[in-house]
Amino acid sequence: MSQEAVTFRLLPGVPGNSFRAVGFLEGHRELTAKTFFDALQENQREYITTSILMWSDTGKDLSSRNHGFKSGTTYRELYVFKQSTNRFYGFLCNPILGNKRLHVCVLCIHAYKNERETDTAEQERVERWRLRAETAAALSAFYKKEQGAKGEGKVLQWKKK
Amino acid sequence: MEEEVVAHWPQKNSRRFAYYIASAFMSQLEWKMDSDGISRSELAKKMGKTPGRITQVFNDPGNMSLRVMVEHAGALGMKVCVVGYEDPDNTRGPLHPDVLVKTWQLAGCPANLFEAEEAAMTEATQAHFWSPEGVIHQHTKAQPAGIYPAGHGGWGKTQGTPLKNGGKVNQPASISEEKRASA
Repeated sequence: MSQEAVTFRLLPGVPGNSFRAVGFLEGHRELTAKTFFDALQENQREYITTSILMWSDTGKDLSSRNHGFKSGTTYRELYVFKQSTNRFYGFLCNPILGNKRLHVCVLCIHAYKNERETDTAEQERVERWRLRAETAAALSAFYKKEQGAKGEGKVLQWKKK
Repeated sequence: MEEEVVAHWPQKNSRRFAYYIASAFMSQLEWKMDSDGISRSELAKKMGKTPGRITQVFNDPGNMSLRVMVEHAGALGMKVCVVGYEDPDNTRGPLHPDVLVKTWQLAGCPANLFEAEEAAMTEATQAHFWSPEGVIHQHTKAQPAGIYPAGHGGWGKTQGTPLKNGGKVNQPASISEEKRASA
């Protein structure tokens, strides 16, 4: 099986700030979030982008648009952006070592949601991607590039639980 | 798909900017509803509307009129303020209203511009300004005699001086005609 290169990039047009950013993990057939986002109708894309903008500026959950799963006992880093039955699942992380201010939401997987409870299969899939070495490498590559030649701060090296 | 050249998409056109403003406003209402435990059905009942209509407004706030905004906010015990502002270097994205609400709350919820300007002074400056020992200055012909804080020119146009904490203190720079007349 050939190695696909997993990459991370921010949502185009929404650069985030020093505290919050949202981007997509791409480059593997399981990583469907960006593909489905691009395929949304314009008003749906606008809705999700607005949710991302608001989260970037406030860091607040809004039950109808986006929220985490902190109340659970597992997969507490999971995060979701919602639009009608569209669900974009990802995880929250601090990608730069020593920088606890910056929280990045890494969107990985799309699913259609028709039931009240989140399908644990999606949670497990996101959690697997959160812990994979390719994910850490993709985030490292992105944030090293963002920091430029000065290389301020080291990028977090992922460790499996 | 080409990358967006514009840094913040709502700035592409006014319709999108207005959509963001309306959405951000609705997010404030939702947070209020969540914190007060009010459902959309309950809100609909308060407003004499159908739950479907409330859901419609929340899901697609783009065409909301000012009157509708006031009605929805009022039903939740909130008020509305429409704010125009200048972005100093035009690199910031659209401002979420919670930024202004937070700033207003941190300033002690001033009810008017005078209270807001007073709140912007540091505690030390205020204490000095209003102290009974206020300094009497010898003034030049341009400024009448009066009681002013040492080092300040009096009322009028203010300049901001950055504080260590990132806030600003208003330092009066000159006396306005109005204040000279009332001194």
